[in-house]
Amino acid sequence: MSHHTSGHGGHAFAHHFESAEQEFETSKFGMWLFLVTEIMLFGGLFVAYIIFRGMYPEMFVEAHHHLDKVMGGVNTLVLICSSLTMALAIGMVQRNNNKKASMYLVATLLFAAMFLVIKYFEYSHKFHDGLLPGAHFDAAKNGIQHPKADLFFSIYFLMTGLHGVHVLIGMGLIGWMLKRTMSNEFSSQYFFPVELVGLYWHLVDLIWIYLFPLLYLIG
Amino acid sequence: MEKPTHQNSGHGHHILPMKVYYLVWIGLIVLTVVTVGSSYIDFGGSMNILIAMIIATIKALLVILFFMGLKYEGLENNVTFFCTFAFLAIFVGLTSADIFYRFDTTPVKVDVSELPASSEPVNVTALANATPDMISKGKQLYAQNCVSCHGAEGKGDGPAAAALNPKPRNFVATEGWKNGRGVAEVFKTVTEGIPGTPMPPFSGLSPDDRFALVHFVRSVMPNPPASDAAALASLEKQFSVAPKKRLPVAFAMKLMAEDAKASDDQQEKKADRVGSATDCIGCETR
Repeated sequence: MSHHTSGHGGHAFAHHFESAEQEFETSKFGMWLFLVTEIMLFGGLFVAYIIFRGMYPEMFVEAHHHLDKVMGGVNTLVLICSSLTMALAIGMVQRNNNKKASMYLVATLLFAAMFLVIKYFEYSHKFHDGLLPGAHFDAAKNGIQHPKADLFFSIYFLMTGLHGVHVLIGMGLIGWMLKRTMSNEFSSQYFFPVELVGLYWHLVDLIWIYLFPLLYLIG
Repeated sequence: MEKPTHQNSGHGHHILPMKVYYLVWIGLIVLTVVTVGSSYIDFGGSMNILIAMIIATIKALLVILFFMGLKYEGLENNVTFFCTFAFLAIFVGLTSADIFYRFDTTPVKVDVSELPASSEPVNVTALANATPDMISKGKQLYAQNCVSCHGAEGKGDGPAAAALNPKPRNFVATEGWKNGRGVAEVFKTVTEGIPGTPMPPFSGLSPDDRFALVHFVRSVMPNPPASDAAALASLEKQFSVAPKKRLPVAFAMKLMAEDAKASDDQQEKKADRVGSATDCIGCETR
């Protein structure tokens, strides 16, 4: 892909764009389009959640007591902090301060890792108690009375698992942005890759904002 | 450089003051604490979930408008996002309306005595007497409805009998009849079935057909006893007090729905039994 240099002494942009500005806006529009498909993807799972909860409201109350409110709450705060550091990192790139931007990106990565570590402890506790989806659900181990409680854990693992995959992918993208920031590729004239990764990362936070009360804070 | 500018004005991207990010962050933390705190209080009904969703949506808007900067984006990104949100709302809203507010399908109990009486009375006295016509009609009905269990000769040894417990009645035997062998007694068995056994009720057949069946079955018996006079009288009374009821289709459908809902399991078993009694007949009679 060949690059042109814009007339304003700005950064190089791909040849099929008229200007760096157009490249920026187009990429961002593409990212928003991708994000809304993500929303619809999780939307389908939220609808499945509504159907199961509507069918077995008392089961959802009983099963959700086996989730750790404190761990879920801490993870919510961790993700919010990671969203802040992501936003700050972009703000720093926009201000030509790549050093601070790198620092904030590292912080974001650390928060993301912290989220996954907490998730790991939650998951292993569930595995240990037989709180698993479908046929792997073991009522003898966890003492849940409701015969359909495995449905709650199907939803729980599917939604948090898919979200966790997004966190992992986000970490990869942030790591890539960190590398590019550290080699001074970005400036106030050219920073849209960081901004797009930021958009993706905020969406991951956004989805968790809904997952947390729906799974951990039922009745 | 720091002041808000519109897109397409050169390279002036909108750059928010750092302070805004910190304020949004504080807002998100506070709202998280509030939502966790409110989960410990019971607001009754569906208020808890409503409060939790309102707080989550405020948090989501903070993230979208400021962290993601949608507030400062052009029209197309806003339209893209909020249209998706509208479609998601339709998706979620209509599903919720269906799941939580679907018209209650619990069937209405139908009081049979309130149904209009049929114009054709049932003459029990006449039907209780066996005639060759009735016996031959009964034989046909027997081949359609009974033979797979009770056997071609009525000895309780039809092809389906092996799988049944207790075994089907052997009509040739004189002992062990639950309701007795008289006309009214056998009629009762055919009409109501024998609960707790594989014998299903054949109340779907018209009274005439049921009487025909009774007479055929009794024609197989050795020394069929005369019906108990009291039993016959009570049968007669039953039909005269509540002359044959004919269900309007709507009522009949309600009754069926009720039946199906009342005992899904039993209904399945029943369907199996009826299935074995009717569906297999083809090959038996041929």
